[in-house]
Amino acid sequence: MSWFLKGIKRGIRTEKFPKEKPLEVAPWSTQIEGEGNVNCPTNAIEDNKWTQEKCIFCRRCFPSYKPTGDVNIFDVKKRNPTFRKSFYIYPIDVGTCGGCNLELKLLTSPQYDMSRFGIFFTNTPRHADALLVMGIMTEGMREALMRAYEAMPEPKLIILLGACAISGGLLGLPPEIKGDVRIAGCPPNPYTILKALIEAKGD
Amino acid sequence: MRRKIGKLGKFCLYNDGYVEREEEIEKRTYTPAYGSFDFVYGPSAGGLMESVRLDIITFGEYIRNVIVNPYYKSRTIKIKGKGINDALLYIERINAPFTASHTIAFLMAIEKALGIEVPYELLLDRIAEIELERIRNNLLVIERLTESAGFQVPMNSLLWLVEKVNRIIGKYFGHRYFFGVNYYGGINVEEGKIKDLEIIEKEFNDLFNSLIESRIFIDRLQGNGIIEDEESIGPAARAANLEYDARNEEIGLPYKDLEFKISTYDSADAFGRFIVRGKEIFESLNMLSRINLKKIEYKGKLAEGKAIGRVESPSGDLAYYVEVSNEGKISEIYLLSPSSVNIKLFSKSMVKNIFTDLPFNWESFGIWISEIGVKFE
Amino acid sequence: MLQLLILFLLLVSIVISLFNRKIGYSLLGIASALIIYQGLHCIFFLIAGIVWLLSSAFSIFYDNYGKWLSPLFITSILGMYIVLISNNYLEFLAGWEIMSIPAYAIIGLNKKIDYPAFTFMAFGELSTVLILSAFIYSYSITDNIYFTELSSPLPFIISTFGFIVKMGIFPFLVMEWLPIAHGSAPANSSAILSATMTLMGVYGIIKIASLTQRTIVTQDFGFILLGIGSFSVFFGALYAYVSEHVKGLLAFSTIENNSSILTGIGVYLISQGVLSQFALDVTLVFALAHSIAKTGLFFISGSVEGESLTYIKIAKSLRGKIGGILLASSMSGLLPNIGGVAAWGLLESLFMLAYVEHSVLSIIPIISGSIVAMGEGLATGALIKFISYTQIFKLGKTEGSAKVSIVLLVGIIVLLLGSVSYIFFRGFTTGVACLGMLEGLLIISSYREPFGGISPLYVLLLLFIISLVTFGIFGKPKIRRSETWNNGEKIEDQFSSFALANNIRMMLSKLLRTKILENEVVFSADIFWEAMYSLAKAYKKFSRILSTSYMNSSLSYYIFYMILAFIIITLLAVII
Repeated sequence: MSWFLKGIKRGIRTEKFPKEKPLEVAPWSTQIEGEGNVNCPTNAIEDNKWTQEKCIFCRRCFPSYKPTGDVNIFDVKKRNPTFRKSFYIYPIDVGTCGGCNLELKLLTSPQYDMSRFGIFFTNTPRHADALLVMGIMTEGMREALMRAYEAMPEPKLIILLGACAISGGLLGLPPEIKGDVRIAGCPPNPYTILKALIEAKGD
Repeated sequence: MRRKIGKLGKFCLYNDGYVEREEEIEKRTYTPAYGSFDFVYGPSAGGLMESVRLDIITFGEYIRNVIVNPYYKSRTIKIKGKGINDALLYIERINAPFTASHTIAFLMAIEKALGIEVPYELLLDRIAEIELERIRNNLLVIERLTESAGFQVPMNSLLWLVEKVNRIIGKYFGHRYFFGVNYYGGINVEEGKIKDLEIIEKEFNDLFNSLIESRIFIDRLQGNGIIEDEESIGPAARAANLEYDARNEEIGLPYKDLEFKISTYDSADAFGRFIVRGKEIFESLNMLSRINLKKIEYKGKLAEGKAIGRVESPSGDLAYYVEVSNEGKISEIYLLSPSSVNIKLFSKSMVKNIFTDLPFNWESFGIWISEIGVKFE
Repeated sequence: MLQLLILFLLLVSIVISLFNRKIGYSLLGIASALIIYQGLHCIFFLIAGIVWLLSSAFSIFYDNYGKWLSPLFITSILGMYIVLISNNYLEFLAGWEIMSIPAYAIIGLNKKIDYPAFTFMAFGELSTVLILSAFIYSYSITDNIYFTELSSPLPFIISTFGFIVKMGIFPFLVMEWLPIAHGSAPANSSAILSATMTLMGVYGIIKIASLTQRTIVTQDFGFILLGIGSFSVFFGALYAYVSEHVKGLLAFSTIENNSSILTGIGVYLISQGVLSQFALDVTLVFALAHSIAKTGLFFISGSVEGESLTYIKIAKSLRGKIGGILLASSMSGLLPNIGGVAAWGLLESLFMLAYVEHSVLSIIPIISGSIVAMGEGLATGALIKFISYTQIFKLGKTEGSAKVSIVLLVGIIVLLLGSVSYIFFRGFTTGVACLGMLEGLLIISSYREPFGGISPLYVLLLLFIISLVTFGIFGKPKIRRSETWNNGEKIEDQFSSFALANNIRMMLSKLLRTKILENEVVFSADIFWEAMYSLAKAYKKFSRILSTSYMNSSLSYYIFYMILAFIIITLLAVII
């Protein structure tokens, strides 16, 4: 009983994002702008243009290029309004460093609280609406990724989370699967992930 | 007191040195029995945070043995022949939750190999990084324990605290996982004293004391996964009342000036590991309140050398062996990650428990799969 | 006249089966069909006839044992038939023995180890002794050997104990001898042992009960039967659930069902009037449901290779699956099968008894009903385990054969009997026209007033109609076949049947005396049997010590005994 009262005493701690601006964003996970020639280890900066999918946020381009604080560094190619009220995601880790896993988990923390948008995690791909792929492609997980994709019923979405999954990042090649939603970052900020998921499900 | 830590490439690392030796691979075979079968958990399952395959040999409910296969997501990292700062880019991304420990151990090895004297304030900054990382990881481990128990209120409160620590890290160091913070020659940091630590301390104190009094919660941890092994490391060793801590043994970081006290407990089970981690959080918060962050640089030099750098990561000793060439390139590198030792301890400790004990025991060791099975090329 | 014809057919088939098995079994089938015709007057003939007809059909395809099986099989059936048609004590006992001895021979010859056969014979003779003493007593009070009214309840009580030995319940409540014996026989013999030999026990009890006047003694005895029955239901179901032996599991299930029948008989003895009639009808329907479903399940056990559920090789087929599921659902007490009607009826009668009693004694049927319900739950688990590992889940080659067609036939019979079960409840049927149930299609349980109702035919029809309506509205579903999801890996090991029940073995470790060793899990499937065994061993040891202590081959002691005996006899002679 005392846990229940403790919980009530703490009050509501959920932020009002995305209706309001994000409160505390770590700068090196947001949009980067600037100009000049720099030596980018993943060639994310070419011709004064910054490609969000390749950037691993190593800060080598500082101070010619600076982070702006804009969290909208994602790209939704296909959205499905069937999932507007209920969106179940099955995350699969094919070769991460652990950062994307932890940032994804923090979406369930009270500050972000993704369940208020009807977004949930599921433990099996059979009940999933979207497959969320993280990490570079490793040999051991190739079959598992294919099986997870086959096990999902239609309609389904593929979400690629992080620079490793979209472009291979620094460490390898990306998984051989076509993504409908691509969220950039290394690892992506929970604000970015939340906004991308809300758009993917059709809001 | 000499203790063995683990396999570091072709060496066997002890707390006072290393010996070149082949580590004997322990082959544990279990005898087949009637009704016993192999229950597969992973690599892709909802309850696991990363991809690892657990083969649980069981009679049904009763676990005879657990075989862990962490090599499903093993990656090859091309690091040999690269410069130090380039190599750091890769080292950061071996295991993001432990990045501070990895990069600082690596840099300590490099600095020892090249004979560089590091400014004192920079060492204090490094301690701040490692201790913030420790607070975050220990909070995460305790949150996973409450999540396995289905304890919604403390689980969400702990997640709130983890996110708060992440935001503090992001504010002072620019990136929530210390990417791009440490480099050969200095550190990227916002100067000043770290604020909001009192909020974390007060809230965690309240949660921790309530959790200890919750009979149904500690019932699931007590007697679960007992392991008393002289070759254990980290919180697992300290829970068995063994005073193994690299912060006491290594002189590279000035923990003694911050009045560091080692936290131990005496029950060697999941409950002991939970208590040790909780005590360590208070200890870390105490040390952090005395540190003022400063941005400082030092000059590097070109030389040849080899050395070992060891720190106490949140789950145990983490060590790097590096050989640097005259042009400042890495010629050889070995890693001893704490999770590779903790996996063996986990397998040993899981025998004779039952299925429902498995998630508690697995989470209590704080194992991160991404730092096992990393091959350097 | 008909009886003589059937007897003649049976004798002829025994002789012919020595030379040609299939013709022998076919003649047995014809005789069974005639017995079913006789069953239009008495339900026991109906049950026995159906079981024997199905067994003979199955045996034609199943029997490739030696020459010994078919004659012994038919002889045992002959004995059971004699029991059914007997009208005096001698014929009854003769049939009883003719039934048991070939069964003993079958069990012994099948395995060539003597332990199961000896235990079967030992307990068989125990039951014969008890029945014989009861009959002798009734002869002494009625002065003739024909079945007539008995003035004392004593023969009924003693013979009931004898009959329930055959049902596997006495003398130590759950007896492991029955699973050991039934589990060591070939499948067709196990079927007739479990289904019909135990039915003879029920027949005997009801026959003698119908000759005994109802007094307070029979009422108290009814309460005792209620207690024994419910206790055995729970333990029989528990041991069935943790059992690993294919036929042993079914045999424990037989004990559980027979205990339910015994509970029904208990209600029949305690109550009067309408409730008593209802309880009797329920008991007979339960016997019918159990006999036929158990026969079918033993046929399934006969079509798998091997004895332990974890390692058997099976031949899967669609017919076997459907038949098996129908049979398992009937044994678990699910509508619209007849097993469901029986289970409903038993629990209803216990509730009504508690209501009618209106005194402190009502607590006994309530507790009894709760224990029966717990046992039914475990029985459902045991049957799910059985059907999954012999038909549904295991990877095995697919094959179709005549044996599985018979299994499907039994399953359909069980389903259809549920829908025609109204004929077994004469006087308890009515109709509710506004709900669409015509007159005679609703079975009402009543003690004087209506208490509850059920309509299996409507359940069956509704299942079909709703499925068709759904199909009609939504059309054929789009189906895409994909691999089973196993954490991203191929399917390798499977959950073994041992592991399925292991959680109960661990939870009830005090009750089942589970010990987990390095290489195996040991548990005792019957603590009563072990207690009796250790008691017998202790007695043997004690008697040996005693005898070696006073018969110690020392001359001086013997002289002392002789003098002592001389003194005692002289004293006795003087006193008397």
